[in-house]
Amino acid sequence: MVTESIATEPQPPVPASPGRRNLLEVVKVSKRFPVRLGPLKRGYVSAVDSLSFDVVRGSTMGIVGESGCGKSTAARLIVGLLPIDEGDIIFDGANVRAPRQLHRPGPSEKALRRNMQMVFQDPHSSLNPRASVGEIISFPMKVHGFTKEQQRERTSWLLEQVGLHANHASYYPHQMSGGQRQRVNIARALALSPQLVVCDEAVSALDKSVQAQVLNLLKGLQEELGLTFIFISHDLNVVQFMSDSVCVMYLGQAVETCGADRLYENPLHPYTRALLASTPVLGGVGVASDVPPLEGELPSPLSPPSGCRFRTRCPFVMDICAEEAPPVRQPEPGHHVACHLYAEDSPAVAPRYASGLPVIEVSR
Amino acid sequence: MTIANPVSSAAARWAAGDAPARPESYLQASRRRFLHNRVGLGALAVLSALIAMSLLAPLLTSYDPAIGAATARLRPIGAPGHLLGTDEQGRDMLTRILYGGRMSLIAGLTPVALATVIGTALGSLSGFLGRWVAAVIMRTMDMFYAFPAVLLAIAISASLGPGLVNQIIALTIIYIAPIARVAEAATRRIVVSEFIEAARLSGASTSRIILTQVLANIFSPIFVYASGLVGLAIVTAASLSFLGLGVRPPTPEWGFMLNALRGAIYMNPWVAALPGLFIFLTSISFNMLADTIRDSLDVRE
Repeated sequence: MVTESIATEPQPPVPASPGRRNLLEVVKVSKRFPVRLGPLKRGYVSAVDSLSFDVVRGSTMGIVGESGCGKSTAARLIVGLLPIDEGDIIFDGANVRAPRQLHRPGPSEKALRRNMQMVFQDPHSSLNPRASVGEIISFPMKVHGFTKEQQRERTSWLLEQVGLHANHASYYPHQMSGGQRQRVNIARALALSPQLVVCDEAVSALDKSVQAQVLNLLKGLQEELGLTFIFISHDLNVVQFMSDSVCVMYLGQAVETCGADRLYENPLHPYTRALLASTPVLGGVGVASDVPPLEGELPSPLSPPSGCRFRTRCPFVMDICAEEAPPVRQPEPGHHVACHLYAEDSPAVAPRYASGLPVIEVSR
Repeated sequence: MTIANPVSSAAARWAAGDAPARPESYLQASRRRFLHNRVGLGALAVLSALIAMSLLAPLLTSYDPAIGAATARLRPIGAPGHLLGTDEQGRDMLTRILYGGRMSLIAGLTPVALATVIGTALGSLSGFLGRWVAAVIMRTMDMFYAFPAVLLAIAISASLGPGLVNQIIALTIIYIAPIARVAEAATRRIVVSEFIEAARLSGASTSRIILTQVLANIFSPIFVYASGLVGLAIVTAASLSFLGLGVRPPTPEWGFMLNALRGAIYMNPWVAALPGLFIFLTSISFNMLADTIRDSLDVRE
């Protein structure tokens, strides 16, 4: 299998620089969508607000949050399906902020973009119903000028990689099960041998048993092909299984980012605690079961609460929460949290996020 | 959860000899579905017969379609020497129906075919790009829509002058707008699908995405709608001819014949209804054939 993979694997067009630790750096990325509020009135929905995180090469970054918190928008901003309003996306050392729409990519952009691909959520609408599986998987290769022979060979190889058979190339999506379609979806994302694969709720539409199979497949592929994942899900268990680090989003903002183990052992942000407390745990007690479950609805992103966006539902709400947006702190090294409860960085933290931000004195 | 090596286990699974069977190819499946549909086969037979008859008209009849006998006017169906009777100028109806099929089929098919190509291109482009492109294209289409189709056809024909080619141009123009609308609506529904996003991610250009991903998915509604327009186009072409803006008499044409025989409806209703019957037959055959073709090409059937 390994020798075969070398034989059919085309060379990536952009030389990878293995020396760089972070494959992807998301720096203060924001996205607003205009909405019509009335005949003449226009408003903005702040879908993603000042989102920052780094993804280490070969690791998996999980993004969790309730539906409507901007996870999917973040995914589309990263791969360039949506233009960014503010902020930068540094991929492999190059700024790939996409001011232009993807449907008119320049040649260098095209070469760069093939290194970032996406596994979509819906196994039904993510595959062209009028195209055979072979056509679906080979389409990106066709766009990038692979020969017919290369396309055919690589399609068979990819199908085997995702646990299907080369004969499945002549199937149509409607002839396959949801799990098989999601495997096709994965094979298509891998067609151009990308370095970064963004999985947007990639298993949410599948049965639990099929979910486990697909998750194992993704892990296996990551190991074998050295992929870097961004794994987006609302399912904390799935994210815990997949991720090396986790970013918790609330209403378009990252509220807590840290290593996956630390997040589940020692959640700091009240929202993270509430999320973890609401996760059903089999045969045991939840990590933070003393935390009351979240009450109320997600506030409207049209007019997010002032200061901290979580304050309307936060059990620990203080006066300052309505006045100031909480800065990102590191109460322990590598554990970023945006909450007024944590006023001080740990002394061991290198001042990266803390620098330049005003220090707010809070009496607790 | 333990991590089994998914690659090797999958390979082992398929290596056991139960490789998935290759399904029949797309064309094979489509042909099988088409051949199993009696309505479609019947419609195809009727249409083929109509086309063959109009092409072979000189071999099937010895009369001249333009020359009548003043002594043999408005003979009923089955009159000796005139199987389908004669018209108000004593011309053999069978001959005129056969020859008239040529003009009517050309006048019905060509504009719809042209309008389908142009309308689909405009509609899919505006549906895909949205924003100002859609605003410009679709509002222009609305302007065409605002006029009754026949009135617009008359206006265009009148400014271009009479003749078959100008008639085809006029009919093409009036059918572009409705087809563009159908195409736009269908495209808008498709364009939000994740497989379009996937195609964008692969770096494909807009034109490539429309050609390879969108067109196949909007084909069905457009095809069925356009096939319904064929009959309408024949009748509209007839109206133009009636006003002297289309084919000039004495060239036979079904729609014009229908109009010319109007006066004879009380004297000889069956002969007067004949051209209408043929227009109806053509129109319904096109509809049924289109339905069948759409169903047999549909992979999800």
